[in-house]
Amino acid sequence: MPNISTIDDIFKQQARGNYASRMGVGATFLSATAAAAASGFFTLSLGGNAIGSTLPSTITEFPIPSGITSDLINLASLTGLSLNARGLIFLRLYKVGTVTLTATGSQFTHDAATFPVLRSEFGVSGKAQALWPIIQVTTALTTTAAILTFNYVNQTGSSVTGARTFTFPSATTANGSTFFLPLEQGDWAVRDVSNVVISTASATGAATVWLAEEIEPSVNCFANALTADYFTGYGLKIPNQVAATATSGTVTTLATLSVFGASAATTSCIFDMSVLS
Amino acid sequence: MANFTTAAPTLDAAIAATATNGMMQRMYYFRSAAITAATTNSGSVSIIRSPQRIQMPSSNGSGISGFIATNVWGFNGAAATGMFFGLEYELGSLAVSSNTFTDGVAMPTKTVRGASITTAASLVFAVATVAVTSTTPTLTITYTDQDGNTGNTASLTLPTSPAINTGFYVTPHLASGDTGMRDVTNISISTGTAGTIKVYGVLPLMISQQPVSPLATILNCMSAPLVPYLIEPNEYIGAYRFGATAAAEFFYGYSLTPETT
Repeated sequence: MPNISTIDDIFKQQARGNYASRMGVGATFLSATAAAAASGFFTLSLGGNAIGSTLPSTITEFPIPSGITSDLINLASLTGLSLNARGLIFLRLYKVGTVTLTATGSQFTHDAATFPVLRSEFGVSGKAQALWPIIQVTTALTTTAAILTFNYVNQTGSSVTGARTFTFPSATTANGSTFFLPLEQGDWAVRDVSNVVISTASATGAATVWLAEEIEPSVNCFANALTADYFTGYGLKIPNQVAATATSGTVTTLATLSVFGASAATTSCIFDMSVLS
Repeated sequence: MANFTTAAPTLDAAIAATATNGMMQRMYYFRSAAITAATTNSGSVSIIRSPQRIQMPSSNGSGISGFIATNVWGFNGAAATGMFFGLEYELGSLAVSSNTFTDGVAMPTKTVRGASITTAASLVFAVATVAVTSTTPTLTITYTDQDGNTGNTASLTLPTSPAINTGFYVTPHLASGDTGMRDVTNISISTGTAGTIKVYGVLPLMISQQPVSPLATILNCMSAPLVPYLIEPNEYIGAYRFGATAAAEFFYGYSLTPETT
């Protein structure tokens, strides 16, 4: 039986101490390689807590209490950036697998966990989550900008063989640069990634493919201007701080405060409150 | 007639109570020296607690049960930080040199949306109220959790010799599954020759962030679903900053709307 049915319940759960807050300052985002037309025009840089993170290799989460298994619904969040014309987004990432960028053909290694990831929503248990596919460079490219297509299971569960190509924006795309993968017409999210096919290889390079779940979005039109967001202003998708679970096995997840829309180094901070349901 | 503490508060009633009884204003300024940085074993976020806190009057006068913080504002002199203010309760204290615990108060009972609730703090901090002399000590806090279970423990490994006013976020180190504390029943430290560490539980009245100084964005009970806690006689409102260790200027204030009985 959920503990939250009404606004009254939200207040009472807080008063009882049944909530959690993240707070902290993010590690300075790296100056990643900016996206271009063939890589989606959208630059994403993954970040973490300044205490414990060494970007891009080690991303440490902003801590919340451990061992919470029931839903943790985001009530209010404040995020901000020191630079303008960027956005800041708190994402829950689910690792699907890794890609080698140095040879052509099928180069994807799927993690052992079985997708889709599942969570209970509105009384329906085991609901498959359709999320955003992103690719994070983990070894910098050299010499050649790799080109790929990818196959996936779309938001309704249909298998799709991708035809749209993704070209890394530079022959020397930097470690840590992250981009959205292109979907076919009519699709807007994916449940799983089944393959990544490299048509042009780079001399060096490797990447991780994640599925990203939006928890707290914000925009930052000028420095420090931000969206103070919470569930009623979230577009009717109830944000849950507790990770969804794999269909089978254990999925690697990471809660990350990420910047989008720019490749410059910048600092960030966050304070959020989420109530236990 | 009570408003914010009832099951169905209205803005009209709040405005009427303020017009009839006036609004209490409080403002504070404080400058703190630099503090000691936290680590992943001591809360993962560097926190400074302002020792200047607001104490409410010992009585409210006829017909007033307390106040609601309907406007809270504040900023500090450091960029890439945030602040939060809240009702602050000293749950316990430790004299480091003697490893002696002194009990404090338990979290209070508050009327929230017409219901009497035994509160628990999910914002819990161990604060060096007197500079500590100790090399990476283990601090162990024994507590009663948010559901009333007793004897749970939280352990933090503190950095060497935390400076005065350094706070450590205890909540990430609670026992698995716990999100808050009702009470502290013991505090102990593995080593140390000087200093005092107090554990505070905080019920938030305002949260903010300020990537650029001194420009803060603020949420309180009028702009986000935070609890409009009744601030009662003799209670304290504390102020905290997170995200940096540098010396800080705090400037903050409150507009408090009277809650009628």
